[in-house]
Amino acid sequence: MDRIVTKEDYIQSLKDQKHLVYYAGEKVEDVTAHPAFQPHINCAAMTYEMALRPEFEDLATATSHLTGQKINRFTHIHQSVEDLIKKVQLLRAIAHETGSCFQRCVGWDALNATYMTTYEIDQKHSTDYHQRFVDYLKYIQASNKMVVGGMTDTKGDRSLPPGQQPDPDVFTHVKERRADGIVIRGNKAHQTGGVNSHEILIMPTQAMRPEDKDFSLVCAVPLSAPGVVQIFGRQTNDERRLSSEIDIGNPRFGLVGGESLIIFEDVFVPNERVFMCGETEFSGILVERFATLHRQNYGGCKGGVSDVIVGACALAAEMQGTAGAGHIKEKLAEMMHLTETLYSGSISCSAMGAKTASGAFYPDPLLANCTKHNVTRHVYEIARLAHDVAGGILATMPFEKDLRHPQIGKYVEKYLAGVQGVSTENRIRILRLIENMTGGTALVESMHGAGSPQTQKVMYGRYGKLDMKKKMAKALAGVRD
Amino acid sequence: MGRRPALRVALKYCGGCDPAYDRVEYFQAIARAAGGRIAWTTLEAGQHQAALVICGCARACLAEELPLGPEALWLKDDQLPPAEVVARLLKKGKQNG
Repeated sequence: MDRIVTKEDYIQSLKDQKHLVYYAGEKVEDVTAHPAFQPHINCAAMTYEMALRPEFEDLATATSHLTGQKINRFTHIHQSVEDLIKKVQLLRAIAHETGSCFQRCVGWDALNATYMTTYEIDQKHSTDYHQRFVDYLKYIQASNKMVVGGMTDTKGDRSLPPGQQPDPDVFTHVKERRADGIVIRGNKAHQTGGVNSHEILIMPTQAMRPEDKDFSLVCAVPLSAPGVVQIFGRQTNDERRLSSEIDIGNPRFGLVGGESLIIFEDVFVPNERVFMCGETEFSGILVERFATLHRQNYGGCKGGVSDVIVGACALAAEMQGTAGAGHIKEKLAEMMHLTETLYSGSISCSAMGAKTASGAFYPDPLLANCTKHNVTRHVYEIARLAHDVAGGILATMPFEKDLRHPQIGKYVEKYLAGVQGVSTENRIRILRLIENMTGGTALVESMHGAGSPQTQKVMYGRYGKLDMKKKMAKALAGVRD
Repeated sequence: MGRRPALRVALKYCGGCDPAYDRVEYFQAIARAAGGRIAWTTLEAGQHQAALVICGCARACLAEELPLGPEALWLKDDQLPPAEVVARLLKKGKQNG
């Protein structure tokens, strides 16, 4: 398939690529036919579908600065502050359609971070990484393939640098250098959308020391390449997908992104797909850029997801007759306040974005960082308020099978009824949606996706301008040095 | 042989909403390094031979507003040594006649 255009194209492309995926100890022959993956595939497919819908075209497509062709925005290199803002707007819009993670932003951020950084590596080392990467980018833009951003290594003993690990494979690294390419070994963890992507863009997981050249690696690998193995991660209530519809909560789009552990068992990467190999001094900035670009997103996608939670809570309140209560209105208002706070963070870091040497635009790192830091708090608070508004029933509802049961179904209908005129099934559906979106894996993703809170706190030290703040205070207090 | 006349350089600051460094302090160091080689003026006064735009951060908001060409030197941080800033301004002035 030359170019993936429709949802059907996307699904067919996944069937065709024959990548190696394991779920619950079993090899999966066709991820598109497996209920564990279908919701995630539907989410990612939305990034293709919305590009074809005129009402979303302005956000979901862009013009390639490389070819002048109309492309899916998820393959675009940001060319302006307006592009940065449209990115955030697009994420919120898609989240309204899916209520869940659509995964494709990770690869998008990896493309942008690599674009900026390869340009600078070439400036310093007279390498040709950037041109190689531009060629790869043209291929991705033309084929519209889905790229997973491979950032996080499992890292083994965190107190040891990569080169001193008892097992070096806990960091992805170059095992062998050949004239025509390299052989890599290692892993990437928490790979959102990995099982339903086409390519992985591997990046170093952290800043590297000069002696860790083999671990300072950026390269692209098709997920169908020999030696690539994926093991899918468990999620909260994942087995509900095998036996129910209502109990899933969001049956079409599931829960967060669907993460896998991706293993590289002596995978060959040709030179034209290697974009950094040993330039350790650029590892840190690449990681920071990827992190900033990814943190920029969270007020967009989590803002959009939170909109759905607010709507679901308002409906739940209406269905059970509490919508008129003052404290319910107040809680809904608080949830909206938190949601818009998240969104405003993403918009602000975009509005304050700047042009890099490569010409690509980059969000303000401190504000992007702050946005994601707020997500680690506000999404939990939104979930807490959602649980408060929805009530204890959220945790005690019977199975869908009970509702459908010929003998006891009538009891579920009768005793879980709310306001007259609202079906019990609809009430359960809304409550299950809230349960799905506010518990377990969904919350952990808000905490650790795009980096754990501590990685955000580190950035305040780097970009927080403490010296300037002290200067302001001294001036006002009349302190003389 | 007479002394070469001072280069007229227009100075422009960004708005300074939340600068990452002390822009005025940095400019003062640049002015000291320039000594009598540069006569500081403003964009509004016109007739400058080069321009120095001091932005407080990478966002460089002025870039969207000022129709400046190659005669301008844009600074977004204070990492360039003041003497080097002066050297670049003198070079720009020379290129612009």
